Amino acid sequence: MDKRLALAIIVLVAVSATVNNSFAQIPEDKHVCIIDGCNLGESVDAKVLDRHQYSWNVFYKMMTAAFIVGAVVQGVLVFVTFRFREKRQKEVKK
Amino acid sequence: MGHATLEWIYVGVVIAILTWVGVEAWTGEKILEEVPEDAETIKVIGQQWLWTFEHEDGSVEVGKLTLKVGKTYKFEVTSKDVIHAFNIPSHAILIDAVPGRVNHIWMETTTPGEYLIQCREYCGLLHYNMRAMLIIEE
Repeated sequence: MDKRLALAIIVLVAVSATVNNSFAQIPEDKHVCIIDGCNLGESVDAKVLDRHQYSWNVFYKMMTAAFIVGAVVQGVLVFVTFRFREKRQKEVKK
Repeated sequence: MGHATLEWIYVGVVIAILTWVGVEAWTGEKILEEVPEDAETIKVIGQQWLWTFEHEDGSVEVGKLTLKVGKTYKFEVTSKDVIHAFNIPSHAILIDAVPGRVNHIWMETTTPGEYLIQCREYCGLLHYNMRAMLIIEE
């Protein structure tokens, strides 16, 4: 149980860090463009907030998160089912 | 690797992603809601079927809102009669105008020009014509 808990925590932290770093974040000062919709590295006005750009940025990020969750859950379910089925076949043959 | 381990992994992955979604949503709300300190306040009053705008200096405009380019504005939006919604499509500004309540939203004026202001909540017979003009001047 401890092993599983530890594994879960490691996965949790690793995935959090990976997902968090995979997407561009809006820095607080916003002096350099690192968000979608403008040229990366370009200097931008520190105070400008383009709501259209921001909304689409969030939309794409959330869609990516939703598809990852879907893929992980579905993939594990299919794998567990498939393995259970194969195991049962071997037992039946014996 | 047993079933439980796999389940722990996918529970971990899903919780991690949903945690990230929560943090992202919270941060986004903060960015969109937090009004910059230098913002000028405009009182926006909706009524059947026109928009009235009161500037900080006391001047009032009806059916037309004139703003300066390169400034930040905070809109305090309310209604005199029924529920309306204050909408500037070009700037992705949308907030309900509710009688007895003041909602706020802010925006920055970056490009001079004329833009549409409209009511985005069905408010009666002439709702379709409850429009105003946003003029951003140099």
